[in-house]
Amino acid sequence: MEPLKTTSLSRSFGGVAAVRDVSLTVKDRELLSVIGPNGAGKTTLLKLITGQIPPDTGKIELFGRDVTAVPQYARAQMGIALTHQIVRPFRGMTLGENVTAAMGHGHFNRPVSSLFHRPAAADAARARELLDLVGIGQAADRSASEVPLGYLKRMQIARVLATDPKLLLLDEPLAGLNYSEAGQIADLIVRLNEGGRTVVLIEHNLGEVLRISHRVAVLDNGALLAEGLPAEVIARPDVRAAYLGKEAG
Amino acid sequence: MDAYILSLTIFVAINVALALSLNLISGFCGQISLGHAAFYGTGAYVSAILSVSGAPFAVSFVAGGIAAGILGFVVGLASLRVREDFLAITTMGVNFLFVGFVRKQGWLGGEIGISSIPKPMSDAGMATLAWILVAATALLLVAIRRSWLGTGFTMIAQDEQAATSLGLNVGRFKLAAFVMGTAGAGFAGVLYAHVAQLIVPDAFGFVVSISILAMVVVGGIGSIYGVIVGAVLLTLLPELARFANDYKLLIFGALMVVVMLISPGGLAGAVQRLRAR
Repeated sequence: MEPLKTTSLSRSFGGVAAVRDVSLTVKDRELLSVIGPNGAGKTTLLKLITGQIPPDTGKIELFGRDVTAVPQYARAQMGIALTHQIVRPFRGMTLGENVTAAMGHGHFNRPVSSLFHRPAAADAARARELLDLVGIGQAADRSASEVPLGYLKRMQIARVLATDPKLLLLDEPLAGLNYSEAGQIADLIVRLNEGGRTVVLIEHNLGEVLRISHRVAVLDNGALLAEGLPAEVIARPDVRAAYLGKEAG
Repeated sequence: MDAYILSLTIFVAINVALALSLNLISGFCGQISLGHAAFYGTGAYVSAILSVSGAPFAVSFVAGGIAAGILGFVVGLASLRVREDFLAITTMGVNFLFVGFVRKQGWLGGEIGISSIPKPMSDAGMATLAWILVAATALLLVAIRRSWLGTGFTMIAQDEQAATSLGLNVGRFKLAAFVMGTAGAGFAGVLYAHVAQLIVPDAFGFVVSISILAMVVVGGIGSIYGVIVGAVLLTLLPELARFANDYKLLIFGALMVVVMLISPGGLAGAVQRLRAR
């Protein structure tokens, strides 16, 4: 059963078609990267998949279930997790508290029941382990409002891992990071994928995308231009034209 | 105890309970409400009507809290559909609607309100009950803060979209905050009605909502002990100085401005900063 399948997905804003008739299937334990120039519709596609915005037409299936009309929080509870392109930490919390907060996901649908359950020491310990996994365990007690972007990017990954997702949707996790940091995060994504998680990666860092992806899908002007093995896709003239301009083709 | 002091003790407790209940909605969950007095008034009017009709106080007490909680649920539904700043305006509108509605209802006494509300027990008994309500509300807030419910509220207050993407049912949690907070205001309203024995629409107007908000802001929005201190201080201030009573709104307004400029975390925030030094 495919973790994710979109069928003829479209979404417009005003007169502008941000996503046009996109049909995409992500296989179990696959690491699929969605690439494309700025404004190609990549982030809109992720927002449609997570339920942050509804599609105009088309269908979204998660783990074989039609979730087109399912609200965002319920999709998250099905085992999909999104890290945001623009980091969204809970700024009044420490990095550790940010991750610990996400560990309450089992209680996040029932307010009355959640009153009778509280975060345990084990949750904080697990949060620390996850921060260690992404390489910032030593900063667990630092406030999310005072750490650099690289820390917040890593914390976001640790935070979604706290919900134990089966499908990870990563929106430009390498953006704003230096060469070394980007390589470390890319390696981490590979490890998470090898650990059994399906990953959909939206990323502009083509070097890392080509290095770590099993398959690449290219969006251009909201439409799916190409998909296939990374080296084959990137060698296509129409893909190079979309990325580099028409003369490149 | 002197009758005046006893009466003052009761009104301090009522205001502390009101401020704590608003703190649950606005401080914990980040939903700014400018109409808390409408729920306070709902509890007062529902219980007064029942008590005047001969219902036992226990029935009036429970019914007042439940009625306010039901109105809070309805207003909470609006909170799911409007952005934070519009929610503030919506709740302000609810307060005006409440007062406007009550004023025009003959069966609620219209402008002159409801009088001769039977006092169910002595002033000392009412004071005890009022402080039990304060203790219960404060303990509930402490329990919430330590629970996953409190974590969810904090997540909503700090970043609703991030909370949703982590699987939090933001709508249900917001409604829970509204129902609990407004029911708390309703219980405070029941006590007010049965202590004052006379209620009029203006006792639950917009100015009262702002006064409750001032107690929360000055004490430290989100802080339990800070809000208790803020409510006690702002209730006693007009009583201690005649000047303060005459210029109550001016002082409350100025205090809110000063707190926002100097210590946005209120008294609790200031104490926290001093401790950190």
